[in-house]
Amino acid sequence: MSADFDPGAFLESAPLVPLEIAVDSGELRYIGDQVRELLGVGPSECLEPGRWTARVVPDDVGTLETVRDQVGRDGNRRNVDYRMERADGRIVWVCESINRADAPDGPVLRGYLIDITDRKRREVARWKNEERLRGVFRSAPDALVLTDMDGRIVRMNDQAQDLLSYRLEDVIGSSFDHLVSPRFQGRLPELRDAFQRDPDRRTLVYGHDFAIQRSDGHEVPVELGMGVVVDGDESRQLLCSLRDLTVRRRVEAQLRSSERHLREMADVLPAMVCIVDREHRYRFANDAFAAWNGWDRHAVEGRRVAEVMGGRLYAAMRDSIEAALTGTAGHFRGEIADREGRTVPVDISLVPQQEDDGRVSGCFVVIFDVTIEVAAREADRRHRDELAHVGRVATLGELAASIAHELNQPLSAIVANAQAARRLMKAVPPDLDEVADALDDITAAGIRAGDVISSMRGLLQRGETRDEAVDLPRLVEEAVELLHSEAISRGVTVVAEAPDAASVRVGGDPIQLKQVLLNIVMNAIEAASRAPSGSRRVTATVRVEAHALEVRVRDTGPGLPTGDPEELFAPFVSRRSGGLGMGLAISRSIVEAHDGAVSAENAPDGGALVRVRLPLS
Amino acid sequence: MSTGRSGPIAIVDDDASVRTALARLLRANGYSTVTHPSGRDFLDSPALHEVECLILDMHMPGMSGADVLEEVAVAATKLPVVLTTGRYEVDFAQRSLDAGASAFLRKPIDEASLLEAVDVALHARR
Repeated sequence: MSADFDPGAFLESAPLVPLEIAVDSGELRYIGDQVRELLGVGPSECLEPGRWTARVVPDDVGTLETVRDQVGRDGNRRNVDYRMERADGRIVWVCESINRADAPDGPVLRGYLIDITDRKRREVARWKNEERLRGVFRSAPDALVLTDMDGRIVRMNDQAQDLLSYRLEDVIGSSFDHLVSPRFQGRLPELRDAFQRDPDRRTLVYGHDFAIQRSDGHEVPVELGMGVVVDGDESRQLLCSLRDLTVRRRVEAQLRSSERHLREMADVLPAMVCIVDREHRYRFANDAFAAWNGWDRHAVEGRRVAEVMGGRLYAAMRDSIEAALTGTAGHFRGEIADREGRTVPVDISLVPQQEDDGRVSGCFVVIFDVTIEVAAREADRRHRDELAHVGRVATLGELAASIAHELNQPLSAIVANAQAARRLMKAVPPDLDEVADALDDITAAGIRAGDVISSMRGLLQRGETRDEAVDLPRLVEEAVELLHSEAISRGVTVVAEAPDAASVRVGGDPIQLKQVLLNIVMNAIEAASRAPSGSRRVTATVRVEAHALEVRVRDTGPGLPTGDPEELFAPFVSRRSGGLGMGLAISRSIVEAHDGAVSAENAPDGGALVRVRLPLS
Repeated sequence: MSTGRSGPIAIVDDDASVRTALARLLRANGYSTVTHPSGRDFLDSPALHEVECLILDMHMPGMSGADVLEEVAVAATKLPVVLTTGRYEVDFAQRSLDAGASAFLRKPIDEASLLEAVDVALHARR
């Protein structure tokens, strides 16, 4: 201490307010003039009885009096912090530091006041900050470790203690780096440096692949997040969050494994399988799919459907994909071009891919090559056409004599008329009117002969099955006309009736349907010819039913030979001499190919009744 | 060709075009004719007893030519009958003659054969 140190001057200039309090009365006996600066009032106002205590914030009065009592009793120096109200109404924090002294008129408490408002404010701010941090620490789902900027552990929550299997008291003050898997220890200083270099940097991106090492040596995969926490006094700390990835990794591994199984399964399927996502991009494609267009599977995945399928097929598929993405499965038939540009017929099924929460995340597209199936169906159809043709040829063979007669009639008329005309022209005078009539009749007979031939030629044609609107009543009439001579030679009367079916059409092949009618009516004529002369009759009636036309062919013959209607349609069973026995069998296959049905029964009043039902077009 | 015929020739055929044509050919050759569309129609008409000759088709619905021939014979009219057929039938000629026909013709019928058959029939009548 220097020689010219003046204690009085020092005390007056220091930010201290000296005071003296009577122990017995508790009243203030002296206070330094510096109180003006602290409270905005002079010492005289403070010394009036009760005035000091009146300025103390009521909540703090009890504390203040307790401390003063203790010091008055035991004489030990104590500090007490309390709040006072200034003359301008602001609150200031003061620290009263007192001890006991003996004065001539009794014991007193002597000491000083110091303004601690700034320090208190900082303390409260820090306390509030810490409370908040503590709350976060307690309730966070993740393990949290707070370190200083050098990586020394300051605090960690229970979750972190569980995850790391260390207690805070065992590791506090030591480097967090030691709790990290040796493989990642080098990373932490780099991350910390990044924070040091950039003071404004608040957080790092989450999701670093990381692992910690537990006290038992086991490594646990974690997701690491880091952020800077700024303390009340501007000191910076690092908050590290660790999220245990053990379960997620296991689930991911399982997913990868199940996806691998799915792929393996999809790869052995003989179909092209792919998954299309909501953006119409491939999320998955099996080997068959990739092989189809010669692309690598990985090159397909991620690409747009239009790019891989081609615009035309995509246009055909787009609506089905959209429907599948809204949860509706679909199925359609199309054609795709393979690597060599060949067109391949395919069956395409689309099935929504539904997640556990019901959301549709994409759709499975399964494409079957149906080349073989289509070829088989085509061959099947060709065989049926062939058989039908053979059947028609056989039927016409049976009818040859009758058809020859049908042709002979107009030919007879032509020959007779021509010869008559020649003679009429030579007459004197020539009867030209009669000649003209003869020529007209020749023309009509020629046309009639032409009709018979074209009807026959139609039946002999080998063409592909047609599908058109067929006038069934007209076909019945044509069949009956063609069988006219056959019916006469057997003494059978054939009647065709179509009371209400004039404008109704069925869809199908007119030639094949005529073949069916021809066979059934022929069969009925044969059956009716066994009846006594005079009651040999066949009636063919066309009736309109709900959604169908029904042709009923009734005869007055002996009825079904065995009572079993099925026998009638069995192949190689013939009731006609010279018949192949294929007529009705072929007829049935034709009717069924037209989505119709043919059946036979005994009519209630004798004879057989054959029904052919065909759906309306 | 014969002359001095006393009555017409009847033609019975269910096919109108044939019926008309044969009638025209016979008329062009100087014969008078009557035509009937069925055997029943002919048998029920007075023509049965007026005609000199019957040209009869074998194949007709209802009553066949053979049925008509039988009734004509039963009526003992001694009417000469020329049978015609448009079908190929084994032994048609023999069966026609056995049934009492005086001649038979296969369609189409040419003029000469027709006139000859009619001539034979008319001679048989006398």
